[in-house]
Amino acid sequence: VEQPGFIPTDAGDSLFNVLHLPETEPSCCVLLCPAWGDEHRSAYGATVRIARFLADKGVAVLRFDYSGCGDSSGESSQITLSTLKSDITCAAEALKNRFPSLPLILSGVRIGGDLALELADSLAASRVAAIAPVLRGTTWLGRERGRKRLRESMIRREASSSSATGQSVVKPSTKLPGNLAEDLGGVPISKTMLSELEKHDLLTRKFQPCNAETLLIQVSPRKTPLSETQELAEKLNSTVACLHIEPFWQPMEPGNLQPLFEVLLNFLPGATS
Amino acid sequence: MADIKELLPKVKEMLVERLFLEVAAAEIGDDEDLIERFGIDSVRIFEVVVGLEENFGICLEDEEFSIDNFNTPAAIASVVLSKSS
Repeated sequence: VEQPGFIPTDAGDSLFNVLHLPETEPSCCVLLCPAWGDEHRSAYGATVRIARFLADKGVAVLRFDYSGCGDSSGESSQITLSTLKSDITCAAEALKNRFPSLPLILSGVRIGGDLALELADSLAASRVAAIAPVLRGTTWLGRERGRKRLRESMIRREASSSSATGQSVVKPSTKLPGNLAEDLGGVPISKTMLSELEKHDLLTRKFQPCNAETLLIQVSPRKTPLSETQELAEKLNSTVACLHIEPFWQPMEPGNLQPLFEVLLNFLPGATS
Repeated sequence: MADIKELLPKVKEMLVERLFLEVAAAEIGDDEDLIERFGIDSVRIFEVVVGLEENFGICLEDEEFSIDNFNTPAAIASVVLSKSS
């Protein structure tokens, strides 16, 4: 059963969400905290697949769009890390109200994973699974800027080959509307968001002691944790799972997600395999 | 410091792993155009950039994000060498 709906936020927006319900009494409830920006769009299909898979295994799953994203109301240019956290909190409260006796599990993708880890204590989550967390905002920004430059470089290459054949190529727009700090391939970054991302660093952040069991899911061909992942795992006393699957938050075919499904399933209390 | 001949097999292994190519690493030519042979776009090339960070510990500057630096195994190996020196 998939129940779409809207959750009101403190800021007056409405978060579009879908509640995936199992056919039997759920064993726990999972809030899927999405990625953000281009990664949110690209990971959408995989997020739906995760929700359906878990619901099929006896878990109630709520997935939602941040305000200013997808089918939620709000302006994308107003998004900050603070608004993303506030949205997660609203969605988590709605899920807890629906299932007050069930353990709440947060599972986040990319920046959603970072924020789930940050909010675990305040939301009294029993477990958190962070899928390919960003760890550092500066790393995320650097990579997004690099991706934009690569795209532009590809367009220039195409333009030079097309000019030889007389074809016209659309040039990328460089005009930045309003008071935005920058535009990363169609994703507007406000000055506040830029500042918050530059400060975002899970490795130096002081976490409150938290009772939540945490799982860091590293997506990479490497069979052992990267040094930063290991550092965060030691800090949070987390388990690390290393998966060699396609990075489904990139705009490409997500490929085989079964290894991710299995890792999540094993992490959830009472889910049926 | 490794030279380009030592680096090339490692670069090709990384390409096969990162890009999920269904080809043996040794079958990729040093100067083969990855975009033309495998239809790789900027999204996939970006995965190579992430691979360079993870496998070789190098971090690229803004001006180095150019297709010309990633369109062949030899070009990628040259980037690694230049960043390692």
